[in-house]
Amino acid sequence: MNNIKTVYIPQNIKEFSSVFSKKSLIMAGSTYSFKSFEKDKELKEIVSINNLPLKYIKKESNNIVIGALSTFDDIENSNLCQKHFFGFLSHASSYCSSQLIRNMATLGGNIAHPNAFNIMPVVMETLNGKLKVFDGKKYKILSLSDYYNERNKVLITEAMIPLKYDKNLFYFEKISRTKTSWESYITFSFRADVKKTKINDIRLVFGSVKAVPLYSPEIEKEMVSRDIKDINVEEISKKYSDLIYSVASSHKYSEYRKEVTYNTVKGFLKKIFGR
Amino acid sequence: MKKLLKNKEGLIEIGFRLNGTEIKTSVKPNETLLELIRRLGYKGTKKGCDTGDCGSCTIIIDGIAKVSCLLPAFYAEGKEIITIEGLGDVSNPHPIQKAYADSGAVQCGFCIPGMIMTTKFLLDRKPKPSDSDIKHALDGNLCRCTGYVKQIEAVKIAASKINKK
Repeated sequence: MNNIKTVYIPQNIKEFSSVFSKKSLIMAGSTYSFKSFEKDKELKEIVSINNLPLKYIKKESNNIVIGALSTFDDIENSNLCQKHFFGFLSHASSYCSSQLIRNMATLGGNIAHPNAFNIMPVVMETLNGKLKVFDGKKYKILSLSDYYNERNKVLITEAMIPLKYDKNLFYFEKISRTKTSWESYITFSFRADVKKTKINDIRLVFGSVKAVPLYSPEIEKEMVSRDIKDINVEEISKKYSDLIYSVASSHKYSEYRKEVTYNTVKGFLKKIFGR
Repeated sequence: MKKLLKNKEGLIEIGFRLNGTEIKTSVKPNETLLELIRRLGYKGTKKGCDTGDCGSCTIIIDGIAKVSCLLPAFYAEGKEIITIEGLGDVSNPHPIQKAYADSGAVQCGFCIPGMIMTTKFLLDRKPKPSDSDIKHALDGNLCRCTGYVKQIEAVKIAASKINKK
């Protein structure tokens, strides 16, 4: 980083587009970027995007729209986020590390730097959120997986979270050494739409398993549109538990993570099925 | 657009307000804001873990408590920064500083400047915090001497003193 020649501080997207380059480091909350690139000798330019007008949380055409520079603290304390999704977004945001980090870490940064421990990708996947991105010339809307295919070429400007899930049932838990640990052993983020005795829609997402959130459309399919009395909760929970692998076979929490997944999924399903 | 350029010495020139005083200085590109603040003589801001985990380097930037060890020094450009020295001193302590001393929340004292800055942030935002608000706000400030009971008490005392004013 000592070879940095220029630090650009654009004030709007137009200015940003004039300095946007794949070679420059984009810096927002700085909880990740500065320390990670401190010893990078190749880095010549930094674009500090803190002054871009991307810090807002609003309701817009059936979405909750969150600007990329909104911090976890902004989301946790936003009236809109507390009011919708039974406070799921606020609750999940409160699990991001400590107050001091929540004051700095941004939604955009948490998604842009894929890390197994990150909360926002897990939350976005649970709520089928979309990302509005800027590629230097125009805006486009991407799913999370599409974003990860071209993340080095675009800037996240906002996240759009559909309000159609507003009245779903939610569950969020980050299992970690302490609540403020950045790292987590495993993160659970569940959503279900249950009408009378049928599951209309369900999404069970797991964080800290691989770099991007893990979920299984196949297992979800087995539950959707079926009467809850025909669903074998133990069998489904076992299937999810089997998905939770460890990168290293010697991972000391490997068995623990499988067991806690089995119990948590079982507990969630039993609760939503009223058993 | 603001542009910060390196000068002949390889340093970046920045300007900001620190505890109410205008500062113009040059910083290394890889210097942290914590290192800069301490280099300027404000040594109340402590270097602990240097990874954003312990909170001993907490300062207030534009009204928000942040850890200065994770921020580059050039981040200060155009900002309003308050360190522990900006709150008060031994002869004229801030009510929060006095509350920490009076309640016996201070043992070795290393973590206290950071805790006080976070407390200032909390009380500015929520003048009457509940116990759970205090615990949640201080969750990033670690103390290895006293535990946290006395510090929570200190925040409550400070809140009541400030609210009486």
